Amino acid sequence: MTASNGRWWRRTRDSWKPSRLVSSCPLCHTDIVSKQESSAEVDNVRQRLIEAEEEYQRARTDDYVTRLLRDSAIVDAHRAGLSSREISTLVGDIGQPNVVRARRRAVTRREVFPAGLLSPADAVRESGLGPREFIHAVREGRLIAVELPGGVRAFRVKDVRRTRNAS
Amino acid sequence: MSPGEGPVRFTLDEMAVIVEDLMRIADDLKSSGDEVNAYLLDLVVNRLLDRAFGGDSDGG
Repeated sequence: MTASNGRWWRRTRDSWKPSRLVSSCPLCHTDIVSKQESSAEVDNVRQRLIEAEEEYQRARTDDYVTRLLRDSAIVDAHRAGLSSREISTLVGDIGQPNVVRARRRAVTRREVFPAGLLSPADAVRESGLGPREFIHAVREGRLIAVELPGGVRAFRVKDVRRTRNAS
Repeated sequence: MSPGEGPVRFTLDEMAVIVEDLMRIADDLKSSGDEVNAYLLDLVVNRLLDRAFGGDSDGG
């Protein structure tokens, strides 16, 4: 699926409202939450994964964007410490080996950035600079981009914050 | 390439204005819960910024 076929662009804002865990995910909520004394951050990541899975199930497997978002949520869940087994339980049609594959797919995809790095758009937001000032900061070497595999440019959070403080 | 199919070029200032507008729309969408379209707009912004960083535009 691509944006050009119009599916996502026909969506209204109201059609993208993730439902809450308790109301629509009978598969996993009470068991998982009670077994794990998770931090708020882990709970938050788990919730995002569940919501991404719900949206994915609504749109089905041919929908590229929902798959992309779910893969990203799987990566976040891994980073937050959820096991492949738990993730496999949360996402309905994916076994543990496929969880690992989805994680690999997501971390190597152009738009998913490793922890501690920001996409150009998020780096602009974090910097507090306008796009024009940010572009000039990069071109003049005051802010150094990190080259990721595939020619992707990303920015270290600490570098962006230093630029923010210096401006 | 025919004369009518030449590349469209923007100055850095024009690119910055386009990026600013797209990011504002993306932020509005995100705040209203439309994360998917906000995400797609961010992908476009990333591409534009990549071009701007690399000096592919006319400068300006």
